Amino acid sequence: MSEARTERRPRAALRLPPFGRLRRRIGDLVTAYLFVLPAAAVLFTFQYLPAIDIFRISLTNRLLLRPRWGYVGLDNYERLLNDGRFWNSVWNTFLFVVGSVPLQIALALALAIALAGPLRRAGFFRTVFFLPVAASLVGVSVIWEWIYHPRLGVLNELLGMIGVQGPNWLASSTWAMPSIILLVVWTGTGYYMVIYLAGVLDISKEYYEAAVLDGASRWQQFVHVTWPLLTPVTYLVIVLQVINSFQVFTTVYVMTGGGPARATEVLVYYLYQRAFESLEFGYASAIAVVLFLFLAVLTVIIRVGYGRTVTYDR
Amino acid sequence: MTVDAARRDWRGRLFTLLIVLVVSVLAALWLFPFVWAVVVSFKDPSEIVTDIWALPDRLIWDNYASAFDGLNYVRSLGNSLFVATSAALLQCVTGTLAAYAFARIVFPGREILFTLFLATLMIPTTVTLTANFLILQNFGWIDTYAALIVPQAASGFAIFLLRQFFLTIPNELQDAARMDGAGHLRFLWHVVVPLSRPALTTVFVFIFITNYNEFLWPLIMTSSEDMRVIQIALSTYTATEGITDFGPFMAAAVLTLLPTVILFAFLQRAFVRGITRTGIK
Repeated sequence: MSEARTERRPRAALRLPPFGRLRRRIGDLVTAYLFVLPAAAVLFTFQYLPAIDIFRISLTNRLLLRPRWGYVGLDNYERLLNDGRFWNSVWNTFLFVVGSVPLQIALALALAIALAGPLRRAGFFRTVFFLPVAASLVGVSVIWEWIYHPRLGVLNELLGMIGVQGPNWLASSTWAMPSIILLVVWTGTGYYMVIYLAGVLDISKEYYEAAVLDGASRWQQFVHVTWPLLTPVTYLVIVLQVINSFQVFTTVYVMTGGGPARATEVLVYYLYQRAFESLEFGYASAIAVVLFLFLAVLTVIIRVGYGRTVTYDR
Repeated sequence: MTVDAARRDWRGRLFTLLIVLVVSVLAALWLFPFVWAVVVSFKDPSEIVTDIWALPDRLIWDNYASAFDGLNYVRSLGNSLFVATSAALLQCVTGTLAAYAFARIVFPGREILFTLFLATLMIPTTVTLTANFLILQNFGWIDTYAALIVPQAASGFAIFLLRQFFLTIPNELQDAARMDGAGHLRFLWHVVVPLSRPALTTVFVFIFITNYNEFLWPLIMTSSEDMRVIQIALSTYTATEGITDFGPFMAAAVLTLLPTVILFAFLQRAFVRGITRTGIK
């Protein structure tokens, strides 16, 4: 950015007289701002304004259908502290993240390494693993509802073949969350695999050649070359995963509706319930603020803990 | 070849074979739900109950007829295609203009503005739902196409991706255009846009698929049956009908998934590029 500026200025100075240069710079300024304006208007109105406004709304007792409302200070936040349903949703979200994130990272990385190495030419596999990413979550959830069906589903049919009586997956408070996690791993892995794949293919062959000369085994190559050099990619994958996972909603809405007995009621689902079922906008906004701040802090923590990039250059 | 090298070679082959085997099994698992959904969508309801593994005796289109009605397919698909196409086209326009300014014009405030644009990627959509609902309500846009399209008319993603591409266009081209008396708009339209077709395709495909698949936003911002996009129609249909009606349900899922899967099959490269270039979905 700044190098472009230092590069272009002297060239312009050579060609144009001082007066023309000023006129062009003003012209550039006007053009630039006109070009940026449409995007700026949209992003300001629907991203920045609401992101700031949730803080204000969270300090009110606003109900959607009641025209009169007032500021109530931190009442909503105080209520959150004693809201068992809120803490239940925090716990469920935590379970979901812990269950789905490491599994997806491990699987995505393993697949990326396999597809970058022995199966490099088999573009078919890449397409297969990536397909669920382009598919709609609602459509996919409907299909998996049938896979999980206690009597007609494929999963219990398969388990029956080896003599195991499968549970009613989505209606069991023990198994509903693992079922959702499995579906999310199936839909999400391909996405992170593609990011990892680009990272693995970026690693220079020379490192592996040098490692082989030193007699490194495959596992040692992975530990000492692939994994450390993928640090920035892993950082990106973790940040994206955590941010996406904390916002899980659609699969829960379609498959369990937060049930059974609120066993799958995650944070965003609870927020949705408060805002658009019981129409408590003030209270729902307080939940949103907590989620927002939490994600921001988490991103910073991951950045600090993982931000060191590794290079073997020089 | 020494004995040692021969052994290593043999072990290497076995290792590769093992990997191919494991990945193939996983790929089969990944593909299975799609394939089986299509199979079941052609089965007679009684067949679904009596024998799970049997392939349909003959193709039955009844399930598709039910799903077609249940989804109000023409209307809901039309809504989705209209919304997704409009959003994708608008993002190409707003993204191109902004990205051009950031990549090819030197002006005061450029760095800070670009940082602010990029920072929108850190604002999670789920967090701003209540405030956005009130904003759209103020505009009188709830339950209109505007509510589904206008907020998606620009994104940090599109601007970032296009800017990266515009930066690679040689300065000499811009200088030559200036010598010929062409202003920014003419240079943008006659040189930058034709050169950037791959990047614009990526933005279009990416935004189209994202918007076509979006569920939470239309769930909140629309309510009438006429405004239903296909994702809402599918979730409503499968939630209200009898629980074991899997034939029509799978047909409905297939009808919903079909457009993006087809688009993906043709433009996979463009879509994947959108992820690897930015790491953003």
